[in-house]
Amino acid sequence: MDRYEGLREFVVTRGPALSRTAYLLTGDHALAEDLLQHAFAKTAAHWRRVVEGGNPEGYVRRVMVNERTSRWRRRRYVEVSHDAAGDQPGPADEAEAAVRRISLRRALAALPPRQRAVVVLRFFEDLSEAQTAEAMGCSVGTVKSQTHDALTRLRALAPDLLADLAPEVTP
Amino acid sequence: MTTDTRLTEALAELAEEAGTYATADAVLAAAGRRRRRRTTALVAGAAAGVLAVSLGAAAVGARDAAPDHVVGPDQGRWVSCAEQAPKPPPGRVRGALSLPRLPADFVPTTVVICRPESQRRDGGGLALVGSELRGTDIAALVAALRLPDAGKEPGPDVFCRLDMWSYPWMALLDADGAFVRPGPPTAPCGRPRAEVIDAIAALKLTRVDSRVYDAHEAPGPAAARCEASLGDRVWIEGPRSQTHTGPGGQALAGAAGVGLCEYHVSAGELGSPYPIGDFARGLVLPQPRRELIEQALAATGPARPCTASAGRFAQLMPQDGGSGEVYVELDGCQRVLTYLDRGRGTALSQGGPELTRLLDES
Repeated sequence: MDRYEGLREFVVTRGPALSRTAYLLTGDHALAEDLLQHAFAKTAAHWRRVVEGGNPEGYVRRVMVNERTSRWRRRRYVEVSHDAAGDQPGPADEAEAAVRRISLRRALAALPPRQRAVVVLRFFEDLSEAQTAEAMGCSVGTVKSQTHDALTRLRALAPDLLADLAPEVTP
Repeated sequence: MTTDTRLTEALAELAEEAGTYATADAVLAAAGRRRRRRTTALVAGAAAGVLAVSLGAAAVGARDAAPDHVVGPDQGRWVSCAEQAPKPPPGRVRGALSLPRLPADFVPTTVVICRPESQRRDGGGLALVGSELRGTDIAALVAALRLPDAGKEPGPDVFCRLDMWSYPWMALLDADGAFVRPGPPTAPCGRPRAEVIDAIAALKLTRVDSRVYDAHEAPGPAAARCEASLGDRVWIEGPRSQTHTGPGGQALAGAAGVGLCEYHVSAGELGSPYPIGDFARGLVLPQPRRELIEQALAATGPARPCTASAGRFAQLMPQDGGSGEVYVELDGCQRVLTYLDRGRGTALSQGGPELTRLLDES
């Protein structure tokens, strides 16, 4: 087997989706680019083992999450301005969507990285609690508590966005 | 579990702003090059010494992708890093390639580098400091900065590296105290010429100032793996918990290390359904203290009925990623909430003054 057999196809097919996850984890294009390239570089270095593990996408995702939530990266000042580029004025019929995006971007930026990660993994990636725990390298209990805290905080920060969210989200 | 459709839709909508941040060719080229070179220099800044600490700088990356939103003025009269660099200074300046080149008529005599560093604090944990370093042996650096842009663009025989390069927040001063922040000459693939990076790495620098950054960015949360803010789990989960005796000590047994994070709940949050505490301090427990705390946790009895909301609470977490977590109210009801292993829920028990004292004095 070629050392990198299947890597090209993997990057081509899953790169865009992983790019979106990277963007939601960071909220910034440059940081997302750094994060994903680092994750792919690490994945490529262990590609055979990663493939044998059967879930290369999960591996890349885990590298990204770990990178974002590890010690010294967990600092607010790495976050971009809440009013960063990307809020381009659009046509009137897009105004509501733009407001939603801005509102969510602000709210996500206010979350600690682990809470941000659980929101992305649970509600964007649609991972189960167990899968999220695996991706984050923590217990299911921690996922539950972090999700709970994150949604509580999001509800306070973006009430319109989450107005219909039931208050109890953990069993 | 309630899956909130609106949140999912909003996240998907926001995700549409994302670009595609890696291409197959670039990943394969980098992988091949890494293998050939057998380099471990993913963090070139660390190897370079002068760029060793890039705390919080989202450190890895291959291209100079975006203009820096935190750079200060590019020229003027130099005062200090504390006055003129971002607070704290970045470990890696974004948009370095967009900085103006060193003016031909500017005669630098001193280099100043503003960078973040970590500093061990009394009582544990790391402090984040911004340091100002100066050097005067700068001939090689100036010569490198005056080189022209060079190199072939990527093609069949030229690969782009994906490993990181770093360019520090750097100013050059002339004899009159004026400064400029020069950008480097560029190489292919959106990188600075290697001569510049090498010259920076070879600088002999003296630290002339260091200052700790404010509590909001205090080092404790990171050092002990704490959060900047956290919900009071005892208050939130307590009413749903099993009554149990002394599980806290067991939950932490076997962990390679145990971190203590203390959070303070503001008056406005007290008694709310989901009171959020702000980080107050954090440390990794010394072994003797940890043993005493585990003994005190093991001795906790059944929780007594109580409805007082805590103004302070502590979180005890294994530092090795283990699943046990323990939360202790440091005032109010002084109860203890333990997350049981393997998703078996939570247990509530009754702490007391001795446990609180042990935690407070840690």
